[in-house]
Amino acid sequence: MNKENPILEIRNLEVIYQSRKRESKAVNKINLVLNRKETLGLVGETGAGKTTTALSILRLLPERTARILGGQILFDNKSILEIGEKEMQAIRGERISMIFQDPMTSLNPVVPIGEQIKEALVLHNSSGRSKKEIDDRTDEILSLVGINPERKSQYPHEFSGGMKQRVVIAMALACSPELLIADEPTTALDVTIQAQVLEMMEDLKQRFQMSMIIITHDLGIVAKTCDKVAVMYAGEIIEFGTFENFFCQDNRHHPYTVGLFGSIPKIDTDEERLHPIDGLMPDPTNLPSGCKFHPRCPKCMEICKTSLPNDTVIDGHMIKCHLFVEVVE
Amino acid sequence: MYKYIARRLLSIIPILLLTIFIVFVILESTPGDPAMIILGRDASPDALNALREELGFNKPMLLRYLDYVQGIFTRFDFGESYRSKQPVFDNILVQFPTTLKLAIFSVIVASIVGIPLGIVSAVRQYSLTDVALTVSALFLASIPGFWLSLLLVLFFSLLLGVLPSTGIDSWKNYILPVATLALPSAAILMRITRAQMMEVWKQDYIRTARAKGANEWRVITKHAIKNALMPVITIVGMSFAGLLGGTVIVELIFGMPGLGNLIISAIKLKDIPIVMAGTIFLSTLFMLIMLLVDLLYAFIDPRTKSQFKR
Ligand code: SF4
Repeated sequence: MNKENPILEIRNLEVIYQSRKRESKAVNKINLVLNRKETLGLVGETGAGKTTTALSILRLLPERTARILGGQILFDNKSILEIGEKEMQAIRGERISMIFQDPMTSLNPVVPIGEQIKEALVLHNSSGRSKKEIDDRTDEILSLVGINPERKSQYPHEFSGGMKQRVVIAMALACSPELLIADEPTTALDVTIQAQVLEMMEDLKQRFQMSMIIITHDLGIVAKTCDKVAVMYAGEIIEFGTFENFFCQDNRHHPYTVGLFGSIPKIDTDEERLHPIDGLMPDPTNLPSGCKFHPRCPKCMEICKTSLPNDTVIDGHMIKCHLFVEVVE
Repeated sequence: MYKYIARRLLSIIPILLLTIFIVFVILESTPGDPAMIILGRDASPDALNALREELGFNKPMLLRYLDYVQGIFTRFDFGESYRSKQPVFDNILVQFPTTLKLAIFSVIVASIVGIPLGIVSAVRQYSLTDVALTVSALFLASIPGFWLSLLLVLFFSLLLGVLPSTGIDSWKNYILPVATLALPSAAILMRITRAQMMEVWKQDYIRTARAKGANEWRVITKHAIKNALMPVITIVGMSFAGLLGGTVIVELIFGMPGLGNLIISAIKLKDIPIVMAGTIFLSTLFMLIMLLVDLLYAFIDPRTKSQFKR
């Protein structure tokens, strides 16, 4: 798709969770490309496999239950599923960082926040910074996220939810990573603070020249921040395209995306009701045959029930749906 | 913080008063006449009466209780042993160090063995190591202390002859008693540490630490232990306090002149002042240790600290 060397490439990634005799397919052969300095929105309902994808990139999937069955993840052209744990530890927190969903639980309650931010700097101190330089950098990063450095000796419980999320962001940014993965960075926050945090993240992204993956179920957030959008459903990417493909000219969309758009409250039309998509996410231990969306799809055809649609790509806009196969032909 | 400590210290007093009362009632309702025990069976009724008068036994129990409490609070007078005729604390303080040593060594050994094994067990959850540790812990925790001590004596003293079975002459005398006391405690500590650690291991902040690039060792030592050990500390404190009053069987079996031994023989001889003072001593100690444990919490857990401030 793009000539320049991408920061992240996921090829045919397949992840399952095993518990006793049940096996759930969390991620089914997905492909993704993220270029440098781009922001990708990974959209979908809870359970679509977004977080699993993110955790695979960091190799932080729960050891006992999760298994990567196949595929490749290339970070800066390096296949990170094949490198050793030591090498991976050097990448985590330094070159790839992650902001987790819930700021309330992702901070260690018994360690002062300054220490927690400093930790990444201490762990990845290849440039041999002195103690003082590390402390200065900690202060700097705290000010960047809008927290008074004097509060660094305080503990997480002394901060509000929004402030905690700022701490979490500061922690992730400490080493100026090349890739930042933000998993629902604002869902745990209330609406006014959401906007502030998003704005701040956008600002920091520009400043650090980072690439970013934002995981969310909120197309509104995607519209505000992303260059590329990937919609996930039942472990598959069912639509992938640029911001323009999704929000401007294009009218071709996967029926599931159409449903997602429908579930955004439209302020301009004065409509108060949401339009959630009918039905539930399929059971990952027993996925439907054919198109995984067919039991819920308003446009479902006979062929959909038996055969899995191919990825149809038109000018970089990918849709995985039988409706669009003829269009190319 | 100081207010909290003061409040806790003050609350010891009513609890002690109640404890003293309960022991009074128990002693009153058990058979045996101290005067008869002191003077022997053939003593004349007159002599018995005179002694009862002297000891205050002709007064009703409630009055004696009040007298006793008053003695403590006004003169710090806990009475004299009927048998040795010495102030009771002379007796107690002579015997206490043996018990204290037993308790301290046992709690240290139990912690050194139990806590790290619990951590290993949790981190290597469901591995062979974990299963082996869990099974042996279950075994140790369910063995009765007297049986374990007899087995140890049988093996190390009689069969191998490497360790003495009675006395307190050298440090070697402490090995078997401490083992008897420490092994079951270690097993319990291990189980609790494992449970706590497993809980902490699932927490998001552990994943956050990993995401920062921390290795296993650092995640355990910097992030998990402090969170997991808080409830464990309470258990350590409680088992220490419990051991101070719970070494009786071991003291009897290994012939160690400790506090437990003193109180047991005092109960047999109806040496009431010793029993009373021993009880007061132990329960005060217990409460002080628990206070200490709670304060320790505040140093580890910043959330508790801010509660104290309020
Ligand atoms: S392939 Fe068929 S069922 Fe699936 S989304 Fe397209 S139209 Fe609907």
